Amino acid sequence: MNCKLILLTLISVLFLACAQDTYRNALIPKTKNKVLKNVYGAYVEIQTETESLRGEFISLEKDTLYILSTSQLVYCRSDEINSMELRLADSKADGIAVMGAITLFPPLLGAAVQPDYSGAFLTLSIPIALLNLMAWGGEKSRKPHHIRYPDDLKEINSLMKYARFPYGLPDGMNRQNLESLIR
Amino acid sequence: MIPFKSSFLFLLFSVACSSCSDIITSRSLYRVDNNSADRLSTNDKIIKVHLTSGRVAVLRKWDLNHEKRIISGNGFVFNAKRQKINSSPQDFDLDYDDCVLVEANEYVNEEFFPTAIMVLTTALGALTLPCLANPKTCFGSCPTYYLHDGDSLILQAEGFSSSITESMEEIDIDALPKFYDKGDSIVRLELKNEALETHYIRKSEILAFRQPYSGELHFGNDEFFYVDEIIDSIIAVNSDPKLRQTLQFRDGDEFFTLSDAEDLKIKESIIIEFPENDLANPAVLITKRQSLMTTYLFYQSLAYMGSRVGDIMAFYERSNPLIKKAQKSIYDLLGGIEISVLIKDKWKVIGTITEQGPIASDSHLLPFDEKGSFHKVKLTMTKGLWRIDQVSLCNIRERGLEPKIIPPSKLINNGQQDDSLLFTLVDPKLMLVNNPGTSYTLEFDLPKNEQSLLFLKTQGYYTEWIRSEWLTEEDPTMIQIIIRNPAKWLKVMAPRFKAIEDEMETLFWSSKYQGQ
Repeated sequence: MNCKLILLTLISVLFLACAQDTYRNALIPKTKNKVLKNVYGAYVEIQTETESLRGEFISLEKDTLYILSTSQLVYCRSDEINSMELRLADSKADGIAVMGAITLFPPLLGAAVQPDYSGAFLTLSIPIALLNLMAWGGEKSRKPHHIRYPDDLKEINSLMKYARFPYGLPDGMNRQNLESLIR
Repeated sequence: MIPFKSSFLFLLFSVACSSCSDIITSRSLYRVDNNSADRLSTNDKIIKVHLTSGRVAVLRKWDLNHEKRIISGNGFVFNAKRQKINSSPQDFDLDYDDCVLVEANEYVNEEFFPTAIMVLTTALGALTLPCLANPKTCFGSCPTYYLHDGDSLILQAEGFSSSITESMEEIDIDALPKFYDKGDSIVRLELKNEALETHYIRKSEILAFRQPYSGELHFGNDEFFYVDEIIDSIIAVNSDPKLRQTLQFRDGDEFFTLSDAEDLKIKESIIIEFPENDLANPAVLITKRQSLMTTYLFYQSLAYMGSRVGDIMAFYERSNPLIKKAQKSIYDLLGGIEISVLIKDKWKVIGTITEQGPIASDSHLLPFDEKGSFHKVKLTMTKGLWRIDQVSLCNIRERGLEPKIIPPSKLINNGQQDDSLLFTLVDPKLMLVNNPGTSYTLEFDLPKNEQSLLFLKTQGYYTEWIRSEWLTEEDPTMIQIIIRNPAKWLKVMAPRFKAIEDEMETLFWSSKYQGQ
C-alpha cells in the first residue's frame, strides 16, 4: 500500500512538473517572430516570504500583482515580493536538441538496416552529431532575456509593460471575473 | 576542397560568436494620441494595439491617420482571453478612442550561426536518406591516392578503375600536377581503400621526369610528351561563347550533359572552337573523368547476378566467350571520348580516350599528324557518361620520354613503418591486399637537385564486395539480357539510372567508406 502511495505521489509530482514546464515553454517565446506577436504577458517567477508563484503576468493593480498559473489566478501584494524574475525570450536550445535527434536518426537507421555500410553510416553520423552539439551549445550558451526585480529594476511599476494588460485590468474586469481568463 | 581543420575552426568561431550575444527584447508603450503615436517608428513592422475591454490587435503593414484618428493595419484581433476573433488576417481601422496603448517590441540578435549549423546538419542527415533507399548510389570507389600537401590531403588519382577481376589487371598512369623543386626530397601519398572492395595492388610507383625547359609534361597513347604553345583560349562551345568558361581551365568546373532517358548508349557531340593556329606538331589535350553511370551499371549488374555472382565471375575468368563478349559489348557500346579535328573542312578522327574512373580527373594527350591550319575540335561521347574539365591544344616539343622509376621507400601504417607491407609493393610477384577502410602513407624519395615532374603508376585489380541487400535484387532474366543483348539492357536501365542521376554525384562524394 505504501509503495502504491509513493508511486502515486511520484507520478503526481512528475505530472505537475511536466505541466509546469509545458506552460512555461508555451509562455516564453523562442523566436523573433513569436516575440513580436506574443499576446500574452511575460512568464514570471515570484518569491515571497511564504510562497513561490509562477505563471503569466496578467496585471499590476496598485499594490496587487495578478498571475495566471496553470490552474488558477493567483495574486500577491507587491510589498510582499522578495524577488521576481520575468522571462521575456528564451533560446531555441531545446528545439535544436530535438532537431538534432531527428537528423541523427537517418544515419543510425542506415547503420541498423544496412549492416554492410554501418561504418559509413556511423561515420556520417559523427559530423552530424558534432554539428548538432555545436548548434545546441551555441544556442544554449546565449543568455535568455530575463529581468530580475529588484536587481535589474528597482521600481516595480516599471514592470507593468510586460503584463498581458499593461494599462491595468480592463474596465469591468474585477477580481471576481478575472477567473474567466483561465483557459 | 576545404581543409577539415579550417572548416572546424570556422564552426568553432561561429559558435563562439553566437555565444557572445544575448537575446534582448525591448518593449515600448505609447499612448494613442497625435503626439505620442508619432514616436512610433516605421521600423516597427509589427505593433500590438491594446484595445478597450482587454482586446489586443497584432498588426503588420500599419499606418496612422491623425485626421481620421484611426490606426489602420492588417492582422489579428484577440479577446481578453487571447482567443483569436478573426481566423485569417484582416484589415482593421481602429479608432483612437478604442485604443488604449500601442506596444512595439524589438528583438535583437539574429540566430544566424546556430541556424546555419542546423541547416547544414539537416542537409547532412537528409543526404543519408537516399543512401538508405539506394546504397548503389553510395560508397563506391577504386584505390584512391591522396597527396600530402602540408596538413591537407589532396585527391590525386584513382588506380585501375576498370580492373574488376584478376584477369583484368592493368597498369594505370596518372599525373601528379604539383611541381617539385630542387629542394623537395620526398613525396608522400596516402593510399586508401574507401569502398566495400578488396584491392590487389602490385605496383604503386612514381615516374619522375626532369624538367629541362618550361612547358608541360603529358601522357597519352602509352607515351610521355613535353608540350608547349598551349592554346586554352576557347572561343565557343557548340557556337555558344558562354559555355567556353567550363572548358577553358582545369578548375573542377566541368562540362557535362545528362544521360538519355530511353537509351544509355545514345551519343552526342560537342564542337569546341579555338583561335586559328598553325602548330608544328599539334595535339589535343583533354582533362576528364567519367560520370557515375558505369559505376551504377556495374553495381546493378552485380545485384542482378546476386548469389550467382561468384559463378559468373568464375566463368569470365575462365574466358567464357559469351560473358567476355557481353562485358566487351557494354564497354564498346558506351565507348570513350572520340576526338576529331576539322581540317580542310573535313572531320578527321584522331583517336579515342577510354580510361575509366569517376573519381579523379586526369589529363590525356592525343597527337595527330595531319598538317594544316585547324581551329575546331569535336568530342563525340555517350550522353551523361563523361565530365570534361578542360580541352586545349598544344604543340609537342619532345616525345618518347623515359621516366626515372621510383618505388616507395617507406610504407607507414598507423604511424609505424611496415617493411613487410612495403615489400609487397616492391616485389613484382607479390601484391598488397587492402580491405575496406585501410589507409597507408607511401613515401617516395625524389631525385636530388632536380626540378621534377611526376606521374603515378599503379598496377593491380580489385574485387567488389556483394552487399547483402543486393541479393534481394537477383534477377536471372536481367542477366540473360546482359549476356545476350547488352544493347537492350542499356535501354532497360536508362529510366532506372535517370531516376537517380541528379543526386548520384552528390551522394557518391558524401559517402566514402571510412572504416568500421
